[in-house]
Amino acid sequence: MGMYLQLLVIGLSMGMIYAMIAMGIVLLIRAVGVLNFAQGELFMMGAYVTFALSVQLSMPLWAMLIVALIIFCLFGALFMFSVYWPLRKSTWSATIIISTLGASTVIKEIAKIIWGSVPVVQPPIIKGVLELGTVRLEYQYLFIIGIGLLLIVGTFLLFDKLYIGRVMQAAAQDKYSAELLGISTVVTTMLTYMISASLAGIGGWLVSPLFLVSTSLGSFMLKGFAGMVIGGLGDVKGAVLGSLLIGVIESFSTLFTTTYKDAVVFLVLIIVLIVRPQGFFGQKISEKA
Amino acid sequence: MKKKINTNTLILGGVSLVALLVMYLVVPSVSSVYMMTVLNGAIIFYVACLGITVMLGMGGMVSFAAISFMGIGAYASANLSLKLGVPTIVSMLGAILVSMLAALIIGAVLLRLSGTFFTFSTVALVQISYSIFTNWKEVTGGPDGMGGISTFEFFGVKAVKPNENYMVLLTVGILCALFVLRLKKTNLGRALSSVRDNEIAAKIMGVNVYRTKLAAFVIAAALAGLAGSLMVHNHHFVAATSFTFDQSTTFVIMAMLGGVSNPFGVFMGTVLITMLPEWLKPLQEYIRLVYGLGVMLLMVFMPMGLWGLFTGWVKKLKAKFKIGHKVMIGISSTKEG
Repeated sequence: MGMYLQLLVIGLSMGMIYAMIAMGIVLLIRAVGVLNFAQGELFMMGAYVTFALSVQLSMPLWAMLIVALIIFCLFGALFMFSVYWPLRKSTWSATIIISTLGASTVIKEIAKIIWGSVPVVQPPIIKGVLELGTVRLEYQYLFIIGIGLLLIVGTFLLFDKLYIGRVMQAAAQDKYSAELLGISTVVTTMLTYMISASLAGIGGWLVSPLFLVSTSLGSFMLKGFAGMVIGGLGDVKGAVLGSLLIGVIESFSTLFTTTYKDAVVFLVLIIVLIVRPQGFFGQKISEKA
Repeated sequence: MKKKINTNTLILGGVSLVALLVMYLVVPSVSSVYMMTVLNGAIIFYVACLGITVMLGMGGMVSFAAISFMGIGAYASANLSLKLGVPTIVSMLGAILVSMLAALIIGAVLLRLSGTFFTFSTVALVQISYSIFTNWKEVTGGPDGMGGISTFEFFGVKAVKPNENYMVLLTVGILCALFVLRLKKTNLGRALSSVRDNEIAAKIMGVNVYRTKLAAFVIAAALAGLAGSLMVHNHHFVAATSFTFDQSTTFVIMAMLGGVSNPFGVFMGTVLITMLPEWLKPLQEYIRLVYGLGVMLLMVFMPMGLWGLFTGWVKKLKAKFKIGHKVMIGISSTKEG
């Protein structure tokens, strides 16, 4: 029993991490219609930046968070103006996808040049292990669930309740009409990129104490993608739930197999695609002519 | 009735004849052994990249699946020639068949998705196949790989040196390129282009979109499987580390650099990207960084690749000298290479 609880908590916390990546991707898909293959590298950058600030510059937690958030936002804006902006008028969607692939290589290499290719260790927020009977859980897992939940709910509130969120949604739904209404779509797109980069960056910070900080953190993106596709086409809520599901499935699959852990996750994805190609929350809307 | 020979065809024929002579006779005699091995690798990748020409250039679908089918073909070939000891040609055909069969089953599922979601599902496929290649030790040899695979041997003639391998690879590469060029003019090729340009319009014209896409997917997989088989017989060795997602993105970039819709362009792209690490040696650890930046700039300044640039110049030159002047009706499509 204890083991199942432990697996569930680990699964949920990893799911939260995937959800943060998936949400960032979905926000970008909705706002600019671009599948960002560099999201995993933004995630990795989050781990490295927080490592640099908290370990190398030994900042206190609060200062580190503020500076890191500013850096993430700048990074998001820079990313938008280098990868998306020059290509926005391109008629061929493949060009932007390839460009994000190029960007992912660039970010990975920059990280390698600055921090070297040897993985580094990031200390957890609070060290220690929670023991409840037979259950042993590192506090970091609980932190991930807590902070992840906070961020996800926060993003929902931002988009649903706040004026700026509605403006961003309007711009995402119809750029042309939004501009007619006087909404600056440059600013809204930039904000979306900032939020997306921050979500990924904080995710990287949260997960880095559990794994080592290395360039291979970028591969987390694939699980986020899987969660997003399971959830539904461009649906934020679906992406979060799908990612949580992916996390739990991955965690429980270790009961049967450890070597094929990744394969199980993607197999589930493909099964979902067969049964319900539009994902759990996607509506079947045919393409507009 | 006597058929008038077009000057364009004449020029094209002459140029390709010279190019063929250079490729077959001059290149092997002036290059070092090391250079030949690098070139051999480039041709193997080229065959796989031709699959991307079919998928992306003709069908407009971004697919990363090439590497999975390359792996399937490679392991099929390795097993056939190691465990059953079949001749090279049978092992190559076997690799093509196995990867086509796999593509038919996998494609039937994945092609229910469209656009971005199809792209992502191929990424998932690459992850699954990589994990299977690494862990299914009985068939793939796991991370240690499989060695001692026989070299190319046709009708008792064995290719031993890189030069001789080069001849085999070049011939296969040219045949594949001709196949893709021909494919463009067939019913399937035209249907595929119409699906790329406008799916709904294609449907109205009576094109079975799903089946057309599936056919393209299977053809691309066949080319990738053949590339895998070539790789196995060329290197005499295969390991799971060759079939990573990174390699797959390199294929797409190779195709895009050259100009995705044209086999010649793709060839230029493949050779350039394979040679890049050799040329940029002084940059050392910055090579990958420069490469990534290059890809980003490439997409901004010449999304149609080198071939697109080249045809653009040719068009301008022709307009200047009034050769083959045609009256254009409507807007000329920039997508056609």
